[in-house]
Amino acid sequence: MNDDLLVLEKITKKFGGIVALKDISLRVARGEIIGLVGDNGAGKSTLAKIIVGYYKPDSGKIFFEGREVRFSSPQEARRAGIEIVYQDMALVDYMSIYRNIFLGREIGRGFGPIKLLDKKSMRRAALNLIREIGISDKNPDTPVSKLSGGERQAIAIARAVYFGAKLVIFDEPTSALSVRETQNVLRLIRNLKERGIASIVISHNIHHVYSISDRIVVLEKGNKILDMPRESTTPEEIEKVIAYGRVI
Amino acid sequence: MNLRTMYYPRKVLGIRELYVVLSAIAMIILFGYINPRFFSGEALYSILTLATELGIITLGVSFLMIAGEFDLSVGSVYAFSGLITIWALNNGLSYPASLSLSLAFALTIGVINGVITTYGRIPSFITTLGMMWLLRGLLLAITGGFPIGLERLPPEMVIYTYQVIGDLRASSVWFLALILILQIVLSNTPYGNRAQAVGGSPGVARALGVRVERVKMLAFIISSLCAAISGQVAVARFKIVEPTAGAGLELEAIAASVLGGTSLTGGIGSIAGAALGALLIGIIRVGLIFAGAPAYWYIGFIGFLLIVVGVISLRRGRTA
Amino acid sequence: MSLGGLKGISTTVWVAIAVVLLVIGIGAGYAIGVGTAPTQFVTEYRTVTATPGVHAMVETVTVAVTITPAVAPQYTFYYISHGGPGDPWWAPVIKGAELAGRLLGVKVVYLGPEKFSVKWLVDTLQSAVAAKPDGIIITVTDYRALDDPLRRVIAQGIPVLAVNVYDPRPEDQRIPYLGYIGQDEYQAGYQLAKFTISWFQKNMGRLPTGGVVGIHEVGHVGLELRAKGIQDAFKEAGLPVPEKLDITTDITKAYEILKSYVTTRRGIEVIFTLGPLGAHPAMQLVRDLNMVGKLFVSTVDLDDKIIAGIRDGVTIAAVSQQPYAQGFLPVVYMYLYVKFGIKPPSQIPTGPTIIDKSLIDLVLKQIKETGGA
Repeated sequence: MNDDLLVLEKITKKFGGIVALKDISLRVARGEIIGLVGDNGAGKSTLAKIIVGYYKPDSGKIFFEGREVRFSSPQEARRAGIEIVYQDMALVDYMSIYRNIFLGREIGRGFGPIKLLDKKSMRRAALNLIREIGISDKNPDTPVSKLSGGERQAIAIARAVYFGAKLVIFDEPTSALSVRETQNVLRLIRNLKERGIASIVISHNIHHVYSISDRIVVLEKGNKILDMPRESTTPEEIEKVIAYGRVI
Repeated sequence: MNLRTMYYPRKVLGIRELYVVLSAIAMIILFGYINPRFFSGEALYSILTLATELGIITLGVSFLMIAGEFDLSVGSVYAFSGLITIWALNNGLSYPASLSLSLAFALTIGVINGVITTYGRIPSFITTLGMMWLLRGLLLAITGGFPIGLERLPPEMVIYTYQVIGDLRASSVWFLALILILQIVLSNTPYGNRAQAVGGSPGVARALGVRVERVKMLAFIISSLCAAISGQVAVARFKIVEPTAGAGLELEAIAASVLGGTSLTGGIGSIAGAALGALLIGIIRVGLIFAGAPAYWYIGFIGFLLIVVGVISLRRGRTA
Repeated sequence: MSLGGLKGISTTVWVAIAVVLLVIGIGAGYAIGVGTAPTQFVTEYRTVTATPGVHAMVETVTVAVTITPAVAPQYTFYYISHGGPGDPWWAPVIKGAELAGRLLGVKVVYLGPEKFSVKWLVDTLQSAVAAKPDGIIITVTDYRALDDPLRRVIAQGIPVLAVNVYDPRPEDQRIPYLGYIGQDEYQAGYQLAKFTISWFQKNMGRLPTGGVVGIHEVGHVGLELRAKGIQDAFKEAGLPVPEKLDITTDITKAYEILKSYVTTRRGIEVIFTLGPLGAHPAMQLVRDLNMVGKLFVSTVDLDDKIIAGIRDGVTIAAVSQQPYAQGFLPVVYMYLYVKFGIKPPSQIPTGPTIIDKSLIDLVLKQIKETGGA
């Protein structure tokens, strides 16, 4: 119980007349990796957006670190330690690595409204991050557009870690990546676990997700139809569940 | 810490601003060849005078373009704020008071443009086009079609017209100061970082918690304020505001911005580039006069250059 | 940011470098090329001595291969006007100036804006002056904006002639240009309106009941003065003052605006227009409404359509300020001043001449020869 980082209790969300999520309950422990899968329209993205504070649930409760929370914006959720890494919307192409990492949370020197960027500190921190995620041949002023898809994901992940995320949600982290890059990203997500950071990985690729998750959760048309430890199931079984829309 | 990895050595060639500088040098050589009198102090001052008034507006327009929006109302704000100054001075107010009124007006317009565009979700092109016409109509109605003249020039306004060296005026110094200030804001402040992001990738910026609406709002304000400042310089120089003053300046400012490397899709651009773009336009204008070219060549020239620059920048793609 | 290496501030250093390069470029250019002397081809007279006792023969020989009649221009005048190349009224002016230049061996550079702008005028004046011309001919479209700049030009010793629009202040206060060539805009409107009123008295036995003034470029000082002249003439005659209507430079819009005005108001008998841009839609309107003989047009400036209108009775009169003369004469007077030191008279009127049916043939000749009137 005390290990639980995030607890969702009977979360329901409607859009107009359509029920996107119905009575979803979920527990995420510290350092746990949850694979969140399901067919299109199952509600995975909606659930993610509720967790990060982009949407408010129509009913149900959210507990984070033991306290009930009601985030009014993604910024609030981020301050609490919940981050989301979008597949295609994580970084600004034409800006440098260090500017991207510190976007919205720039390190500055000065007082009041007159704040100047402390580029030296930001560059140094960025360089450290770059080394840690293993792309040390790049330096912090490189425009992000010059990085590969996998490298970009890595930067986004490193950014989340740097800013003290306790829970990171991944929205399709491997769909546009090569085999090698995919392995790298999955490794990085596993590293998060070692740091005690929990992850929820949303993906269409069951095998990718299965290889790193502690637990698999399947959503179908707004309902949770499967929630079990990885060992208790196999990728093929999960695929069947998703295909049939129910547990066989 | 390895210094070489800490400070990315940038390639000097291949940056957007270089094109402007090269174009400018090419133009100078061309016009100088046609009429060697072009290589003179008077020509330089003439160029700088032109470039200063267009340039101050261009800086604001460029900043806003980098933040991802357009302001077509700058010409009207330039004229209207000038009118406010003249009206206030003619009615006995001091220059500081008149200036404050004009700047307050510009700020208000910037806020209105910003609110309608960001919260009303109307494309800035439309919002500011409407504002441009609204203000222009008001201007025509108030002036009745006649230019309004300043009854007496207050001594404080010499801060714009004071001749520093020869014909070089203080307004050019203000121009330089503004370039410095805005460049620092753009590349050395958190706000500037966010403005760059918001311009080309508002989705990403929003996902990272940047208040996109507020960032754009401030950029609109900067644009209008720059227009008002240029209006002050104009009033100091001409001592009148004509109802058609500033018409067309908005397009020239956008052209200067694009020539200077600012992208139409937002996010990419530089303040220095914008200033150089305005300078280039000044060089072309004055150069054509020295060359004794027919009057209409100017606009054809600029148009041609714009297309060339547009094609080049498109092929280079979206990289800083 | 793309420019600069270490800090964003260095981008401004690039600006400084660019400006320095500009200055160096100027200095280098100055060192390379100063004015080149024009080559001339002349006929030389050589004396050839023949045998003693016979008269010496004089032989004419050309030194160079060909004799070219053209001589490189001895003077350069800049003609700076608020009338741009797109304005048809200024076309004869440009031609007049060019002919005068050709005849006198003077280079005349005509400069006009894409659209009416006082700022353009001042900026261009200052640029033209920097080119150190021998004379400047300029429309003094706004004396307040041009006061300072023109005084400086004159103080530099460059002769200035005003054309088409002048400084209305008394002689001791106004800009000290050498002279003014053109018409009085206010008078143009005033005389036109007075003529129109007396035409009504002569031909209809009464005064007109009302009129309207269609102005196609609001804010254009010349047009505004004409309008004021018209309005004042009506006021003096005790008639309702004609309203000023913005008909824009777009003919279709002008037509519609005039149409709604004339059909919804009572007693409008005359449409005053201030240029062909207004006259054409007005005349078309009178014809379309079948009101020839009941609704009239009086206008400033002429072209063949307007003359046809005068003939057909659609138009009462048109004012001509003879634009060709406004192009030709200033160049001549400037030449006389610069070469021979002849001071031009302070006012050389080229109008207003009121053209009605009786003067059509004279005007037709002017149009045929000069392209305008």
